[in-house]
Amino acid sequence: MLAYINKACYPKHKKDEQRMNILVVDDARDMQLILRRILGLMGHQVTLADNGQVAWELIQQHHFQLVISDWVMPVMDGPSLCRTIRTAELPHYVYIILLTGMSGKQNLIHGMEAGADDFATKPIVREELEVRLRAAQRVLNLEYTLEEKNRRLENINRSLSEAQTLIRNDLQRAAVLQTGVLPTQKMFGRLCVDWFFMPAQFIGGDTFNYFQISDDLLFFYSIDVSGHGISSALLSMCLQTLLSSSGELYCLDELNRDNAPQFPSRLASRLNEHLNHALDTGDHYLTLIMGVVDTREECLYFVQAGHPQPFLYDPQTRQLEQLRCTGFPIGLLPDIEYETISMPFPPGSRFILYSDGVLELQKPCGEPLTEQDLQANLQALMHLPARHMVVDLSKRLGLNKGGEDKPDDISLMTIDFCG
Amino acid sequence: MKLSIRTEGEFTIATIEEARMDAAVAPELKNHIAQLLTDGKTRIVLDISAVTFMDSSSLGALVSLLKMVGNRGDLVIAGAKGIVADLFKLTRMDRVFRMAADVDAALGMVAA
Repeated sequence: MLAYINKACYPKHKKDEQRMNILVVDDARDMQLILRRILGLMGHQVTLADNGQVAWELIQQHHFQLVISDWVMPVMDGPSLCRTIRTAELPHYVYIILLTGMSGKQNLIHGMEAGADDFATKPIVREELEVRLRAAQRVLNLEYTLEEKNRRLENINRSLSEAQTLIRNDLQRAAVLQTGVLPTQKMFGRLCVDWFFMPAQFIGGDTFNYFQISDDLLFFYSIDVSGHGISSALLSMCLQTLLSSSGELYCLDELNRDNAPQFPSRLASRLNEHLNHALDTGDHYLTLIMGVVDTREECLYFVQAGHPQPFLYDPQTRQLEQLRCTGFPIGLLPDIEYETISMPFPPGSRFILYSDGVLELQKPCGEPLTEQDLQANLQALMHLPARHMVVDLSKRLGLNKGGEDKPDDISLMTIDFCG
Repeated sequence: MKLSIRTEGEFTIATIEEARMDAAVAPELKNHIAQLLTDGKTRIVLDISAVTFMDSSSLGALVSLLKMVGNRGDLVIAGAKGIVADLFKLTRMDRVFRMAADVDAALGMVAA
């Protein structure tokens, strides 16, 4: 029999955390028994092995906190056992005391290099062994605490990265859904509308819409809620509802050809009051351009609330002009009066709205895209119908490449009065 | 974010030492300036001459600071230029804030 498990009862007063599972490795039977007796009296659980090889097999099956091993043994000696344990990277730390009858610095160095933590000389003195075991206990407690902390950190790390993946997937899904509320119809009699929309990596607050009021009137808006993220995106969805034909602020039958010249500014004021008083938007506010095209009157009425300045194409001069209009954003300050801007809009005209995300794009040279660059790009595409113009522009701006995550939503809309 | 604070008489001059004022900077800027107000430093000149880009969330933070100052002090914006100055004009915030070309002009303005 090569190994003996000590089934003897150990003293009851030993606290569980102080009681160690100890493996004694020695080829001398008398030494095994002496150690088992001493360690048993100290309240530890003891297992015996005749040499390093047997010990290593037991170590792989049981959790020993401490190994007390003789130096010279047949089959596998003490230093070899040390090295085997250290290279195995066990899930817990094993404290090793090497027993030696030998003295001398060289032996100590050899033993420490093999991975021993401590040494005890034969013959065994009980008091000395007790002190060495207390030192072992301190080290093992420290190791245990570290292992526990590591395990806890690993768990926290895992849950955090799981949560992050979940949020990331959710946001990507939300960005796709954001586009679901955007209008799909593009022809309204002689009016043709087209657009592009690229949601930011972590969703943003751009949105727009347009709908026909009557044969002659088309209502439209382009909105950019400040900031990015979930609250911006939800506020933009909230605005879609507020401004929809059945929404609280907007009553479809209220807009008609008679009041069209005042309608945009009145709705902007009402929306501003709503955001300042009824809806707690935190630090969020929005910029917008909202208006009406009257095709019978050949007129464009719109309100400007801090949105990027739009472009108007004049079919007579064939020039694209940036309309130098300004206005207070919505939801930033209460009691603001807005004014409606009226522009002639004869057949062949084109009105282009966009969000400031466009102006955060970079040119191929790495410089930021300016309004002048955007205007030049658009001017070169004015001969194209709406659909082609929008597609070509997105190519020119490098939006067709995909893959690159944009910091902000990017939207652009054109309203054409086809001749 | 980098913000340096110095005192000149009864005025506190806060200089933003960042080129970009965006969503990453806005909440911190707001907290810093709000703390100055809490500490009773209500006459503030905010020097943004180093800023070359400002986004909508930073503008929102500045407006809420202006509301915090209210009637008990000043918040003067100094050194806005380029597209930053354009943003103030576009949103008409140049009519809401007291704007100065630089810190010296701002001090002359609030002292008057």
